[in-house]
Amino acid sequence: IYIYYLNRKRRETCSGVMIIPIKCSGSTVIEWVLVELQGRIENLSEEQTSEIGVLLSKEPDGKVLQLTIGYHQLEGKRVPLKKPLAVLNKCERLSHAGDASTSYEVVGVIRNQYLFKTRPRALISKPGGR
Amino acid sequence: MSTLALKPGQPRAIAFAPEGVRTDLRLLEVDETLLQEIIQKGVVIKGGEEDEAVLVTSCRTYAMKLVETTNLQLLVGPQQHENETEQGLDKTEDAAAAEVVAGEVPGYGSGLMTQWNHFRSASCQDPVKVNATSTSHIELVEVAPRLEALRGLLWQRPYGMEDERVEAEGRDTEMGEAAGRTAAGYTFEGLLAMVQASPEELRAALVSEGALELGGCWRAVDPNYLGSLLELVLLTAEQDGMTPSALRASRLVASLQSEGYRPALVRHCLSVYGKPVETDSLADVTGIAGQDAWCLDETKVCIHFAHKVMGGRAMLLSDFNAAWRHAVPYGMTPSLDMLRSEALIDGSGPEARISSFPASALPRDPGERFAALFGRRARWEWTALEPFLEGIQVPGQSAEALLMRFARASQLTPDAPLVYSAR
Repeated sequence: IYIYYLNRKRRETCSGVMIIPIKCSGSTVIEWVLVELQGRIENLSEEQTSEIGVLLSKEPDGKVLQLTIGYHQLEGKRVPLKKPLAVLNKCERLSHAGDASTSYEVVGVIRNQYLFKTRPRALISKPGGR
Repeated sequence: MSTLALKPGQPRAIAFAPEGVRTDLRLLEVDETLLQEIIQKGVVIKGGEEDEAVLVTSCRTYAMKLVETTNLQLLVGPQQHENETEQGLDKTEDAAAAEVVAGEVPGYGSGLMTQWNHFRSASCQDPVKVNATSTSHIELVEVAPRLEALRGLLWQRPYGMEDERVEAEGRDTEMGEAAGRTAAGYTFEGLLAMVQASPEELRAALVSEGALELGGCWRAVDPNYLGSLLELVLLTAEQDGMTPSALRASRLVASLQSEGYRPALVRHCLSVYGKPVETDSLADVTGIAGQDAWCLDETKVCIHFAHKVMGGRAMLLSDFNAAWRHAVPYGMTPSLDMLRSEALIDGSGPEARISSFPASALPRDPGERFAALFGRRARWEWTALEPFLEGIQVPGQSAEALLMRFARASQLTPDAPLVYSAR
């Protein structure tokens, strides 16, 4: 199972590079979705598992989600991003002349985010439980 | 899909994709216009080792800033259709568990047992797959293009008298082109690869720097050479019966070619000191080479003569005004207002002196420009300062913002005008 921690933001400038194209093959771009958790998750059990948790949509519009990770329950809301995020994949190519060239390909765009930022609730068994 | 498309009341697991989870994908914050440009044309990241990287579109330059987060970002890519019914566990039991969840009382959270039921019902469907994780994204901030390098490149070998002579010699021999004369200057693509600017911004800068394009290569022109050529154009026009507002490039080119001046240079001179005139002719005008009718810009011509009269030193204003009026072509009227970003007047009354101080020679970077301005004169009134701040605005920053950042305002008395000095 995975458990859950809490955290904060910081800024940084990235270093420069020569000429790197950013392109998109195809005329449309695939939609991706961002699920953002305010913290980190860690697999504390001994078993190898890729399962993070369980999502549940309560309302028909699908805007409010419940996410259960281990014994924590988080509530998240779907919000449209103020600005879409393009998902870029770095491609390194070697030309026949031996020069390395770098480029980025747009593999998707994210317009919606499910943000889980409320304090998580710890789940306990009901008294007189099963 | 642009949402997770979860069915209400039906729990679904979310898991890392079994085929692997990328951690090296980059997220770039864009707006819809930029996204469309990337999809249709593509854009480019540029920068040297020392510079901050910039992203350049066809007409804009953006600084790139990496914004890190300690949030965990799970990126969910396109999912295959979920297989709801088949695999694994007893369907009826889990469907019943799902119903229990759906029937929950609002306001009350579910207990642990119910949560276990979630897991069980969720596991009979494919989980939502997380294809990648991220802990940062790149933000774009529009910036003024970085063109400082451009001046250096254009001025490496400015066109001047030397080039006229070499050209004349070259024409006489068959081997003219190959005879050791290398093309001076840089191609547009070459410049684009070396400056952090978009193609449109670069074109605008080449025009404002008065750069000459010869044989596909761009370079600066020696100002003395160009100034002499202007005066020769004025003289030739007068001799030929043309007024400065109605010049014919073809006639000027013909007259001046015999003096050894290349047609391209004559036309370049007209484009720097004048404006094309729309004629009634139906002929398609394509750029400087195709344009025949020109009108000289009175302000630009008078500025040329002002600098000539000042000759790089301070002059008594009264003497200057007299000499200037005498120097300009017949029909043109000089006025000091023309020199608001070209010269400075120090002192007042009969002791007032004027000296050359062209804005075009000042650095483009706002911080460096203010340093140069305050180095020349410690205190400036707004009306004198403003003309020297034209063209250095950073996108998204007003002149007021620049002033606040680099200057300090003060007033002798509440009625006196604001005076700016260095911070």
